Amino acid sequence: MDLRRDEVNALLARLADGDRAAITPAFEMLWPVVRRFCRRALASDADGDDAAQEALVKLFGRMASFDPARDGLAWALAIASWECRTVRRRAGRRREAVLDETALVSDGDGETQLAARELAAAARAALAELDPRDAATVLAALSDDPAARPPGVAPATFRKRLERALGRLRGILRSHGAF
Amino acid sequence: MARSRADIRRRAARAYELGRAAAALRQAAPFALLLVGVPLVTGSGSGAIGAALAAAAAVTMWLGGVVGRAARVGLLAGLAPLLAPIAVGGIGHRCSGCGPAAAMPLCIAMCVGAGAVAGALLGLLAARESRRLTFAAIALGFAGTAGALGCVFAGASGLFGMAIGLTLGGLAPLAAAAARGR
Repeated sequence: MDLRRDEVNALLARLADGDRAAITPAFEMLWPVVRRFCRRALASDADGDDAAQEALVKLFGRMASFDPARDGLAWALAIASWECRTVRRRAGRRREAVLDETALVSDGDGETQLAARELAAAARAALAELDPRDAATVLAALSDDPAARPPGVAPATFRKRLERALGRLRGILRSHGAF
Repeated sequence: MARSRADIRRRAARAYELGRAAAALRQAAPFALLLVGVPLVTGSGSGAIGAALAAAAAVTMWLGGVVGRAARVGLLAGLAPLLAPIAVGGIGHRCSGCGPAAAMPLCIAMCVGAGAVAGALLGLLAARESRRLTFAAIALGFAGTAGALGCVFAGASGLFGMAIGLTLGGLAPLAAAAARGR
């Protein structure tokens, strides 16, 4: 790993100096590391790949300001970590939008609408505490779009995951006094 | 948003070039202000040459490597003779009629001195480079042109004095480095 770190540092230093021949080897060296990091951080291969792409594009865009005295791998992972945070926030906003839609579609008088909105707010808070994979499962089940379901997961497996996720969600809601 | 690895690499390469271009413009901007502003303020009217020099510096900084480093150092060193007319103006000296025939050719002395300072800086930094002759030649070109925009106020004598100072100041550290066998 130390040797790899040195290699990464040397390649990033060459790039910072304007050596275009280092673009491909630096990319090939960083891509698997950053992708693995993002996939783990987001607990999702698809979101992880998106975050890793954006992180690497940003990293190469900022290469001119790379200080060769810094640890290149740590710098790359710091950018990746920031990108994972952005993706997580975006997913959080998507979650809120789905819950708001659910609250708005409920027909009824003003009181019912208000209750639905309060329920949506409580569900949002509980989902934020839930493990990202569990939250994604619950939202996929709420969504009408079949594409929201994780690809390659058998319906039976998805049902089991959903059951477990709902159990955890209930636990969180109970701890908040919602039940 | 699934993209192939080659697509992502191409996007990264494009971002790299854009990032370098932005950084080069940021680095060249303060020099551009001085290279265009000083000739206009001192009335030598060679702002167009200053703008062309700043543009050339931005391109070399975008390219990077020894060329980019040399351009940056050359412009930095060239600030000494470029700002010489403002410095002599600051102490109340008027350079009109200040030539070899004058009792005290302060302007020429300033240009020689500023050229020597610039040359010494170039020589010291060139001595650290592996391709020191390339570095020195490019840096000298940028420093000489930038300095000439300042020292042109002292006429041909001022320009000649600056060139002498630049060459002698630069040669000393390079010769010392060569003698040490580096």
